[in-house]
Amino acid sequence: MNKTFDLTEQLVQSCIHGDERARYELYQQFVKPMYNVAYRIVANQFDAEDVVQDAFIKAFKKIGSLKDNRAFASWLKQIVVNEAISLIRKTKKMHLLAEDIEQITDVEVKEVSDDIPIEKVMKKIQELPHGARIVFTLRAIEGYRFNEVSELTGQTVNNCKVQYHRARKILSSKLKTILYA
Amino acid sequence: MPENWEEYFRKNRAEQDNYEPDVQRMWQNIDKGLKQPSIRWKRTLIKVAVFAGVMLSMGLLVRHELMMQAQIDSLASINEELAQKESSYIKLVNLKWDEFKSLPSEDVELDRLLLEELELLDTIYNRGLRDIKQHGYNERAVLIMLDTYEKRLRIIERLISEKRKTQRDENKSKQIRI
Repeated sequence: MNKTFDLTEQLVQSCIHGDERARYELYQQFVKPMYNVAYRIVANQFDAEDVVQDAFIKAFKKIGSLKDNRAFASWLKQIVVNEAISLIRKTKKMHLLAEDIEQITDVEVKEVSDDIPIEKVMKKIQELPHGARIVFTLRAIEGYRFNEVSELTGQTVNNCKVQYHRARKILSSKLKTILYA
Repeated sequence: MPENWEEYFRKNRAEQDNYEPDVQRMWQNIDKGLKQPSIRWKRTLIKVAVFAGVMLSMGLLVRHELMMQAQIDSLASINEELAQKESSYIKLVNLKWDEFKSLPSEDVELDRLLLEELELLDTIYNRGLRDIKQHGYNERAVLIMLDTYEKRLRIIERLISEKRKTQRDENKSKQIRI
């Protein structure tokens, strides 16, 4: 078994027994990836911080209910994603797919070039409309299946697919200008 | 060109997490959040505190009532109005009783009957008092208790008039004999 997994499992076990140091160790281990997950969904530093803080508090309070200690990372990520979507719903009072999908101009969808630096791609993703950004992030970056994205966002699978397609179109259009600049 | 976006991000996973969180500041907030009782707990605590407060107030009220009832040993200890009524009745009864005693008595049987009647009225009075102690203030018991004083007065007055009448008769018969 992988050493990191071993350590995480031990830390989770210690956390369940109320060890505050283990709690801090776990936090240090996961704060950066979780912050980035949150940032990619909420698209700003302050909301991302709130999401991560609330997610860790919730996770540490409910850590006893975790059935498999090895699943801590995915369980925590799930909490972060839920918190992020719930924050967007609360603050922006947004129906994820209420944005006008018809407004997208018909752009030819080209696959992304490996040559485009990831920072530039990430920056362009942040500029996507909320609904498209969230669905695209969950599907393409976080690796959720469409039915999982549908559950997380509360939208139908078809709507999620439309949003995903929309995001790809917008990204292709935006990245084309970078490629040919 | 890669096959798709998912593939692109998979290949670039190591470089995706490029936002740096403020680890220490966030931890301080998390730590604070963990040490605060949850909203659910806060709500429960408030409910428990309100319930305890209500129970305590009720307990104190009941205790106060019980103590008040336990301390009742006459109508006078219930309220001022009854205290005044009882006090005037006692004065009147005592006056009449002194008057009765001041009259010479030759009929021992009459005295004994009087004492028995008065003892019966004492018993009725104490029953009323016990009823108030057990079940709290009630108008009926108070009226019965006050009525015992009225009856005492009437009995003593009747006996006084009986004694006086006897005395008058005796005086008349003495005069006739002379």
